[in-house]
Amino acid sequence: MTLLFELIKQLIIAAVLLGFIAVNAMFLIWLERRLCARFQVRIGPNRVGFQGCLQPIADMIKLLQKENIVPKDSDQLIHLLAPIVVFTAAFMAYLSLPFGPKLIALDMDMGILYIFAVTTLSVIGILMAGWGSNNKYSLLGGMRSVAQIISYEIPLVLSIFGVIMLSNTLRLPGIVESQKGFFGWYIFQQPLAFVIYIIAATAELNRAPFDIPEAESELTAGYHTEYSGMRFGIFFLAEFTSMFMVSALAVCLFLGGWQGFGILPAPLWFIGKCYAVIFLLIWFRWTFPRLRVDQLMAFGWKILTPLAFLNILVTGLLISVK
Amino acid sequence: MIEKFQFYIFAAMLIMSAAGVVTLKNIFHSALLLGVALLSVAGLYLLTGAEFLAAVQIIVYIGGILTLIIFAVMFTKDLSDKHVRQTNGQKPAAFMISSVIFGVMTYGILRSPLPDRDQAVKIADTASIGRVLFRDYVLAFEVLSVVLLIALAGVIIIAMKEKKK
Repeated sequence: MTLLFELIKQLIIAAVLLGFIAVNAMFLIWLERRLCARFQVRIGPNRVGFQGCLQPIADMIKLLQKENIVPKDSDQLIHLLAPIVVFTAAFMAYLSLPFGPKLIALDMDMGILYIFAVTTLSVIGILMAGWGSNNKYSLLGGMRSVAQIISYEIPLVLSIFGVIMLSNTLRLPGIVESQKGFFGWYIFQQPLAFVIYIIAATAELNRAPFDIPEAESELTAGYHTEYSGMRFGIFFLAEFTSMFMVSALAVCLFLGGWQGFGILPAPLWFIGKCYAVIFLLIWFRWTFPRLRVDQLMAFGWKILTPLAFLNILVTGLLISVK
Repeated sequence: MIEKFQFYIFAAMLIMSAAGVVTLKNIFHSALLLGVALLSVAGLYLLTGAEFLAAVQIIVYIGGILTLIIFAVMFTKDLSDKHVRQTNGQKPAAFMISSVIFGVMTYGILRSPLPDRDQAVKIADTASIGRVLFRDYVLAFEVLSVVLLIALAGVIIIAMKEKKK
């Protein structure tokens, strides 16, 4: 009986998280298109619904109706599984995101480590998409994407070490609770780490100015060149899913998580801060030009990684002096 | 009850995918199934309460080593062709060696006393792993990292020499 109860409970949690992801993705599609139009002095989609707010639903219906084209000589099964693996990797991270003091699906002792572990799985999905499509652009895009993700994962993980050293825990709710008051936010004690984290996270997401894996002018569309219809839609969903996840992690680590100052409930503070970080990411994307491959690697290895090490060293020295 | 059920699921996944790794014709599929096998091992670690070990298993083996293997497969054109024979004429020798290893391992595992489950969980807890690594065995840990660093530097030097020629 308890077994059945437990199973139903877990299914409900998964359904709630999936619902959140779907609504969030639709909102983000609308937000990104409207903001990008603003930055480029256009108007953007504003016909479907109030201010174009129903545009994502129209897009979704369009994607669902489209024919699903699978290349003839491709590896059918791998081609099918690739978007699912990429999305699942992004989705699993939501399990340990604290939306509020008690609002977390699974409070693990090593929440951060868990998130980094499951998100590395998306690399395999991207490689599957690149290989399974039997297309040189897909293959090149997949390889570039993976090389980039692996290179920037190092500064990304190193940048949060300072926060972990200060808070003395790997539990995400514990890290949030250790940031007391506005000036207790770790962004004030770890400003360099925050900058490194945001840059490395943008690269992890393969978004401009680090969108070399899908550079339209060189590779048509990178690893999802041969994807159409809903399979393409799932890649898109995965991108917005991990975009929110990365921002949520930034909020937990550097911006005080669910803690706020007014009467608003904690989850609203959390999601509001996440959207502020997402706004920053969208702003980056439509402002900076794309880097070249060699510039990208040199920047990651020669600038970001040493800076992240320096940050750990200084943090450690300051802690031991105290 | 539920833990036993989960254990059998992960164990079955592990055995089936491991068998697939060595029997499939397509080496890319083999590499992916290796990923499934590594994931199942991580699942088994989770079931025994070794959360840290499970996370590290995924980060190191899937995020690092498996990705490297797939890269090698993709860059080597002959390897990634769809139907390459992956066996040679040494099946009997291979069978003998692997069955001997299997026998020795099984014998050893069955004979050695296993610690109590609750006790094992206490040892594998993340905080105590950190304490053991950085306090009790800090010297061994540092020596190991220096050895790894030397290996890394060596790889770079060897690769640079080949480029110059």
